[in-house]
Amino acid sequence: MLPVERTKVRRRPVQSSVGPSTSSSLFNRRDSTGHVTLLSLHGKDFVLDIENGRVLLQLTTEIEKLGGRIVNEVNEEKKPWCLVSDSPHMAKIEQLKPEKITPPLLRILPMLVRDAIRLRVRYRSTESFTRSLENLKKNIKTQKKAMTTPTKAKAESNAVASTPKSGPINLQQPYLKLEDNRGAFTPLYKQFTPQANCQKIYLGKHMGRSLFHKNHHPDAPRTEKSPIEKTRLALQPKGGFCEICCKKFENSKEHFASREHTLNVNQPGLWSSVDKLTGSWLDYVSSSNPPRTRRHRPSPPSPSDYRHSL
Amino acid sequence: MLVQALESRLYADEEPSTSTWVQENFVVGEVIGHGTFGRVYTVECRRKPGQLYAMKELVRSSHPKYIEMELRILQNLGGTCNIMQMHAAEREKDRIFVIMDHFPHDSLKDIIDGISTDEILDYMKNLFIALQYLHKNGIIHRDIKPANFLYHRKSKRFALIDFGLSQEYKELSHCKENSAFLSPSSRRAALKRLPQINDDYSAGDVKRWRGRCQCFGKPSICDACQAKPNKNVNKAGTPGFRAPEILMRLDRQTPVLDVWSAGITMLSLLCRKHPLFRPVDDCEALKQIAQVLGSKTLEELATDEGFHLDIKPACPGIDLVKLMKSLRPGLQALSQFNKLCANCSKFIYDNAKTAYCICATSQEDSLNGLQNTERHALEVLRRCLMVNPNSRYTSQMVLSLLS
Repeated sequence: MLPVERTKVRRRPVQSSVGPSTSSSLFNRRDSTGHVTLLSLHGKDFVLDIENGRVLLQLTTEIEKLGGRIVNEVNEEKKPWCLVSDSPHMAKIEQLKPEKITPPLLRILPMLVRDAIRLRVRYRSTESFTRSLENLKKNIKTQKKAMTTPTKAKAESNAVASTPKSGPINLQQPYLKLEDNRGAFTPLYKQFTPQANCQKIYLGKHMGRSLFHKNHHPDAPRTEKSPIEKTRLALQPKGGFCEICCKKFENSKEHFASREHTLNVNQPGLWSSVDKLTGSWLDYVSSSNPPRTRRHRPSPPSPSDYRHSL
Repeated sequence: MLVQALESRLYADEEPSTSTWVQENFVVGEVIGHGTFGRVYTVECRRKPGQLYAMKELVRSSHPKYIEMELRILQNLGGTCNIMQMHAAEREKDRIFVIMDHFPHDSLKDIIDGISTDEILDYMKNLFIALQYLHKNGIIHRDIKPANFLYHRKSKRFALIDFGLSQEYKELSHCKENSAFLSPSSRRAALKRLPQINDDYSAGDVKRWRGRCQCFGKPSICDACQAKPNKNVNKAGTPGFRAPEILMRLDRQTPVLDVWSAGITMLSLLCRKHPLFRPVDDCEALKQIAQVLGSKTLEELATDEGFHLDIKPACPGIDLVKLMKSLRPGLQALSQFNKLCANCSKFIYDNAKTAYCICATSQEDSLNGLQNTERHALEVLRRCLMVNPNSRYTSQMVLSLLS
């Protein structure tokens, strides 16, 4: 769940939020009282002054889908939340504060926009509004994802931090706990969330990535990566752990080119045991090691011919 | 192929053709496999046109110790008993290239739908020929899974690959003797994206902690227990294929851990679904095993080894025959058994109304109703998937059961 917090610093007077904001995000996560709210357009009215029928229809559906409402006029009693206009002057106008708009400029604007400026209602051009809407949709998606993500096992996160929490941790069913009788080690434990993939099994068309994973789209055909995509993925630099440097790295390409790694792999004697085992047993493949003629291999297995060759 | 080669050039971070040795000897083709171990390419000999090989370029962060183990196994044991043959190996600074047979093989995804029980038994027999040979020579593979056992259906050829996680096993060695070998494995574990924690502690610490625990046998973790170090053992391997003794972090790890992985492979084949298990961590893996094989056997193993395992609510386990029959066709395949069960109505998705039962209690009856071949396969499977490593069959025993 998202934390519901009250912050004094971020709280603004109601009036200032009504004027055109210079902030790039039109839809703020905090409402006028400073509460963090779930992102949506619920309870907000919009006036659309758009001539292009296709754009008008698209924006109407999108706003309504997100919980907003479309109204026809800029009314003083019930001010709309924002006005969207495709007037050619909007791109310039929306950069300016209402006080800065001169009367000659005001005269060439459509009537609805003039009303909006007079009543201090937000006004946006179609382009910037569409952009804000896209951002909002993206944020809603992330927010939903964050709420449904299963929590990680506590045992592991505790161990990494290695700082004991105060007070015992109580486990609710379903859980698993493994402790050693000697009491030398921390118990292995996990409380399973309803999302954990070990509570239910899925049979037939409901089965997803494994017996314990649900197939969320049972009727959709499986999409597979093309060989080109696979090759591309295979060759991309990856993060990992360098066993030679005993160090984690984010980008393999950078790490292998680094001075530290180059110095470490050039340590004398590091590769001596490997070099004893390299070479070529093929006539048509050269080798930096002396050519080998005999293969050190024990004969095929038979109980009488058993020897520890390694 | 041309497009692929072009693509690979565009995105490559380190192409094999930048090596002079590779450039001198081979024409490098497409990537045929990749993983944490590195990448595998098809290559053609420059001096013998038309001769194809598979070239594995090991990941450059591998410690020479593990590279040595892999090369030694390939050199000493490769080429016989379904183990991949190595033809050349070359080091260029920190880059290692291994030339192996070009082995055309079928992907499991393509064959799993129509595979017959006889074919599964043949596949397993060949896998156990390789395993028995490795174990006899004191090697634990540690990463047995279908992706590492290549199968060419047409020519009935098999090849076990990827010895990058393999370890030596000495019959009499105890954890103390092995500890020198085990401790760097945590580094190996990190490579496989597993959590790794240092477990340096003195005997004095153990004494201090022992008396203060207030949560033993209770569903809580006390402060004293939270402050204790984590137990660390060699966990190298693929999560869904890890044997219970690894998941419980027992000290004694023997070659039968490969037999467990082979058992999971066989269960996958018999259910015609791969992979069957995809746990996110060890706890989830243990829970999934408990769901399939019952929590009782896992708890018994823990008790035998000086541990206390608590899985709440307890799991009765699944009738493997019913699972096999119903996994692909779906729930309706269970209708013929005509038994209702409140537990299974929740445990199986979409079974709330029908309440078909899949509990392990009916397994003996289900086994009796099977054809000879299938019953034989299930018998082998049960021996491989014994939770207790001491009662699990060794690779030699399973092989004689399959021959």
